[in-house]
Amino acid sequence: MGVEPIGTLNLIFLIALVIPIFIFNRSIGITQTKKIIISIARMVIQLTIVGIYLQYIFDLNNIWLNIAYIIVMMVVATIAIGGSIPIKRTIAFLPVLISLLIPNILMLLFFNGLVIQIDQIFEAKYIITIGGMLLGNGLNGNMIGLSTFYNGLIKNEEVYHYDLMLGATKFEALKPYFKEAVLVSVNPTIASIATIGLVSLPGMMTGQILGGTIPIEAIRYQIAIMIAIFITKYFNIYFAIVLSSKNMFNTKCQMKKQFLKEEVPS
Amino acid sequence: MDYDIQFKDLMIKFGKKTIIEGYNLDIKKGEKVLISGKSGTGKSSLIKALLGFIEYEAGEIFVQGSAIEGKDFREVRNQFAYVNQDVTIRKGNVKNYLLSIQSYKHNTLNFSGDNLLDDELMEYFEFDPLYVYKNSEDLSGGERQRLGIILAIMLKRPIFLLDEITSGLDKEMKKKTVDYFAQCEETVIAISHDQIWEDQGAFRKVGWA
Repeated sequence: MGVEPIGTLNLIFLIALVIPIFIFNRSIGITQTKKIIISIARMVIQLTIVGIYLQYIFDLNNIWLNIAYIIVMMVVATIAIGGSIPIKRTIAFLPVLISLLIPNILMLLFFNGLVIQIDQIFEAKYIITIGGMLLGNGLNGNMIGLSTFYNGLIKNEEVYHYDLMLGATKFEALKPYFKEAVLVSVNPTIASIATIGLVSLPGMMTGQILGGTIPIEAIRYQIAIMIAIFITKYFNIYFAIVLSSKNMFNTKCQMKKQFLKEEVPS
Repeated sequence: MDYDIQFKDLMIKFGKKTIIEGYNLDIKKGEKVLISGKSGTGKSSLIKALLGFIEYEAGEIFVQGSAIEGKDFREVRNQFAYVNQDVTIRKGNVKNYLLSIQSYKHNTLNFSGDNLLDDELMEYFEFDPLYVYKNSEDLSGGERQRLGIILAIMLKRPIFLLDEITSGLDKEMKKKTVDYFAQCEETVIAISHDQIWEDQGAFRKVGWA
């Protein structure tokens, strides 16, 4: 049982294989050598740190610490989302945090308690890995979804006003942008659900098989996690738009321009 | 006196730039008013302030006798049929758009018959019934303007707000359009620098800035 461990020296050998790329890069005029080195160095450092503290957390396996860890991850994700959407960080923070928190926690409880049926729902090994996968997808979905929604609205403000004049309620006039935002958020997930296994095996399944799980068991986990990701991501963006837009309009349904960043991130 | 709209000492700013200051205008019920002036001087902002799409700095706006500030804007907006220069209708199939308008909660349009748009209006404004099967972005500027005008009339609201609606129309259609609004019963506020509105004679010309 278990994966064959990789020695440090062996890992260095593999990384050394990148060096020829630098030479080839020079011949075709790509000047990214420095960027590649920095990226690889960052990855090694970041993952080393993650490896060390995950080991520590797994050994402790304290329920409260595990929950705190998940919540800290959500706060970090919220800050990351706040940096890349058109509305100001301070305005976006609470709605985005809640939009991640509620669907993710509910899904984790359901997943660990009723699907995997582990005795300790908050066991580090499950809650941190599954939670991390859900959150990574939700982070990405909320980033592009919220950007699509608010950029669409900023770009089409006159259309939005015209719809209000034709008798639309605020919700009816916002609906096209809402729809677009949810679609750009979940469509990549639906596409990967449809093609999964055809070309490559997903990372989680690969890891489980290497770890000794038989394929027929590993696919169950993969199916379960894909469905969980899809559902969670859907409600993440749905709540994010509903909650963030509550505060973004005045009683005349005008978008509050003062809540938008001066320079809209692309 | 029965006024439909009154602007009192209105001041509108755009950032730090003052668009207009101390603007006064009284418009009687059923009156036809033409606001003319150089383009790019913010005439549209008067209409946008009236509709609650921008805030004004100072002064007051009255619609049918009561100040709009603090009123339910749904009610205020439902008094107006608004057409702007670009007729900013949503992208996509026109017919689907018309159907979605009909589903709006505060819809005042009444589509009947096989054609969604009123047959007589389509004929008067020379709007081909087959245009509704096109995508709005494939309509020409003039076609979109005529669609916007037809929709505005079909809304059956007491006041027309017409912002540069003849810019994309040919000479003959400009005249027909101006004539239509000169003869209708509703109150009309038109913004235009097309001479034809003035020449028509029915409109009271008021200055701007």
